[in-house]
Amino acid sequence: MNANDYRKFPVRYWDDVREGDDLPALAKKTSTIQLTMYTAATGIFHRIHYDLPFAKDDGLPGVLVHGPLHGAFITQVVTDWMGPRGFLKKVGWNNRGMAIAEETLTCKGLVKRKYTANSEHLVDCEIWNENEKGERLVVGSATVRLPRRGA
Amino acid sequence: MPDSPDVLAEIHRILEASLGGPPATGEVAARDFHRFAFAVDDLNALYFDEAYAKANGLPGIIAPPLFALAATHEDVPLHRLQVDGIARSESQAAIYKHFKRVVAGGTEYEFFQPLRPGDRLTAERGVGQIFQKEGRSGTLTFVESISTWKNQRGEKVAVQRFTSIYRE
Repeated sequence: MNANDYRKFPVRYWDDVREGDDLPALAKKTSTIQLTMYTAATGIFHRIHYDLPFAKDDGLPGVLVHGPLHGAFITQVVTDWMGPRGFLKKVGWNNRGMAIAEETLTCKGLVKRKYTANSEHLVDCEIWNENEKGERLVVGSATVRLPRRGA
Repeated sequence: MPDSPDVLAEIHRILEASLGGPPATGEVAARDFHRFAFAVDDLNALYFDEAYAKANGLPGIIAPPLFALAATHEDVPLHRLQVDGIARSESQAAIYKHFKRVVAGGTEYEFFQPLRPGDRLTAERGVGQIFQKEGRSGTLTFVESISTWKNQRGEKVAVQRFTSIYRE
């Protein structure tokens, strides 16, 4: 792996965040290769995620994107945005719809609330993804702790 | 419709027995979490670049937070996978016989510190809430399971609450 492939992000300071800010969107073009990689990386070998004839026999239009992979995609929207000094305290989601390999999922986020609790500087975000028809397949939320300027 | 209170009690008893066993264990290995990051296509330098991680106040590279589940996943030999590729325990099969389909409801994680290479994790699992709601297509049974990961120092690292929805 070339070190140039790693992605570095600017430090995100709590002071600079505003409620209503959009988090930069992330487009994920899924593929059977990616679903096979995720299958191997998690050790969960359910055939509907990599075996097309099996998936079709099961009534699916294609191999299915793993539910937790949808979650990982929208979590990445937050971890990219919060920068290298942010800490992900909470993340959660509900899977509402399914996607199959080759679909592009656009993953988005929005700052809902900025506040202080127990001396921590926190931000709550709403996160979700959309398929090419604009349908939200997974919706969730996250709470991150951010550093303060000058601290 | 299965007889509700009895089925709920049976689900609770079966899950308690299977989840309440010895905790799952696993070591956080950089090679494994790099594979996870590659699969998600999440190439955050905090997971790969020691110097970058240290420059940002960390002791070194960290794992993607959602890797916790994979770190303590219990691998099984090929012959234990059923035709659909899933290794279902007898206790799970005993629950599933009451229902047509099981789908993922919600997933919630809480994190307390980053996962580091070399961390030895244990995941204690237990049963959370079990309740029923009337849906459009019949009764839905919600089953929550709770996993708590601790590291080799006994410190809490992460908690996951996962809800399955059983459809009759």
